[in-house]
Amino acid sequence: MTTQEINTLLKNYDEGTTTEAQERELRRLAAARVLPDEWNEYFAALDDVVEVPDGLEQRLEARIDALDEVEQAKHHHLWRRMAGIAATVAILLSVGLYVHNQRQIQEILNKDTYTDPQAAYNETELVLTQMANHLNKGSEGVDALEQMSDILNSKS
Amino acid sequence: MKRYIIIALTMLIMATASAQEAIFKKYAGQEGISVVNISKSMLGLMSSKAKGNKKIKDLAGKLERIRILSCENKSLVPKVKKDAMQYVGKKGYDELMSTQEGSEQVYILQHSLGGNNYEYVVLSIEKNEVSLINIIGHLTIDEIKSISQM
Repeated sequence: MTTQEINTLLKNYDEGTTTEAQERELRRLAAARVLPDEWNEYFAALDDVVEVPDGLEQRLEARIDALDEVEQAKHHHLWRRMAGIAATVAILLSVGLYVHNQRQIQEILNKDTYTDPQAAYNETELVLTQMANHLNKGSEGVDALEQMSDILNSKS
Repeated sequence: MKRYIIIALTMLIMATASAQEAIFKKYAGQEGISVVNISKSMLGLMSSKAKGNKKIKDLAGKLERIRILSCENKSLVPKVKKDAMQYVGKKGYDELMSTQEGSEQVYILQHSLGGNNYEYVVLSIEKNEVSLINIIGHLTIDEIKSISQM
């Protein structure tokens, strides 16, 4: 191979247009120290690089996808747990507030409205008197009906 | 485990309310609704501290409690009326009488609590006003009626 041919080949290699066969030829020339020094050293360094096993790229991609799924599942599980805890806290707070509110209402209901016995008496008298009047009014109607019934029975 | 917690909480909530007091608890503190409570101790104080009719003071001494709910909030009257009417026709509550005077309907109900202890409910319903009187005590109908004859 002439010097011009070697230079052309190196130029093509630099541009990335060489074929595999041409690249193998360049490596052979570099091993024979025929190429310029910098190219000989370059191809010697390439020979030290370990070849990538077949299928490694696909295996790595599959592994990354699997790890990603595990990570997502962990996040999903964590969010579910946090949502469950938040819901439980919300329920407990609501129940606590409700019970507290009910106790406050119960205190209001149990507490005497009047602190003055006279005022309490006045209200009591009013309530009992009204109730008595209503009951007696109702009874008057029943008594009148009974009287009429007695009259009718005595006539028949 | 979660199910048991929920059941326990539900039971706790239910335990804080009783059928008799539900209506008072529901409306106590709301605007336009007044609740009056006269406890046994206050009813007992009347006989020695208050001036008035002796018979009424004696009868008051037989009472456990008087509670009155009055609603003059027009927007709440229909709801209070509906809740109060649950007493009418309710199992265990005997309707002693019901009257209608003009626009006012009055119901008087009696509920036996056992051992001569009674609960009386006086329900008064008008167009824009509802009042519910709840009396608990060792008081008979005849004793109440006798007040009018004093």
